[in-house]
Amino acid sequence: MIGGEDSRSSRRAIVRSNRFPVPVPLRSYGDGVNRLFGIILSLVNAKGGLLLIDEFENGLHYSVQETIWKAIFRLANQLDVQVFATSHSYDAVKAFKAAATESPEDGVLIRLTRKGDDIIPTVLAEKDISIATESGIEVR
Amino acid sequence: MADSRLVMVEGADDLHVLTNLCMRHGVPKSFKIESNEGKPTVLDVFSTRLLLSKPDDIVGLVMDANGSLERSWQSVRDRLADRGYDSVPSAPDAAGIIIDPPPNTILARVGVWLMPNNRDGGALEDFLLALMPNESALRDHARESIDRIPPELRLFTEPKHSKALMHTYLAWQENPGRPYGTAIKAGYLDANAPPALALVDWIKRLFGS
Repeated sequence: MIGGEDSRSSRRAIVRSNRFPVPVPLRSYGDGVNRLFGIILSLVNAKGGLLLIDEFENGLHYSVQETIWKAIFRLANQLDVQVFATSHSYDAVKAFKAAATESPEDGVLIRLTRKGDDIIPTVLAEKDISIATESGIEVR
Repeated sequence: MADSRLVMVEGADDLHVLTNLCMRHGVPKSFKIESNEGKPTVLDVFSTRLLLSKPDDIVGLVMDANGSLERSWQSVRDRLADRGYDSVPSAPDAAGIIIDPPPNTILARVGVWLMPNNRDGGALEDFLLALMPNESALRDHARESIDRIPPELRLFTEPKHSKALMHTYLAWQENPGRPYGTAIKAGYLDANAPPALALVDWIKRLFGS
């Protein structure tokens, strides 16, 4: 992080990488890296507490989502953070399922369904997630 | 049409039989028929579908009552109970089972048809045998021919007897070897036989009201 010492510049993140001779702004990387950085930073800040992630998939290409879920699982464990994430994306659910198979007891998938003024939760067991994924059943 | 109105069946044969019967009787195409071959079994997928159903969904299940009707019905009942259907009859209705969702749930309306007729153990072929024209010399001939197969050449087991008879009967039609669905369309099997009418009536009641 640099800047922020005076009123004319704000604090911003820079990245030192072998690919460039000088540090470059984090912003010059894609949405995915910025999103990942944001999530990791939030996890560290939430140490011993709760983290709420709205629309997990925002800015994340589907191909990296499993890796990011795995990072969340690992860090949440290390930092003792309980994470609640929402998503409308089937890719995000699939990636969650793939990442959760390594430690199934650490993650649970809950579908929320609106009925009138109520919101009814449905807890999906590991077996149901597998069947739904294999058979293309809508879990959202 | 999403998967909110659906009949789940065990294989392509069931799918084509059901499709052709519905077509012959002008049942509106307001639902999808989905075949689930192999693993996970149709019963497992059915159970997951019920868990993930939404208000106003309708899910039908057409399944062979292989072996014993009681055991097959019990396995369906167990899945229904797991998902919160609390007033499932202990014996299936011979006209086809229809169960409305319990109040204050998001569960689907459910229909179950156990082949052949919700009364006996058996399979799709036993249902189709009852669709063979009543006065069919060809059927009688096919039956006798199977009975005359010498024991050492009779490779199929007794539960497959109906399937052997169906295929034999269809092998000797004007267009030999038509699959079941096409055989209904061609009139080799009678779409107006009482068991066919009962199945179509169950479908209509399931999706109609």
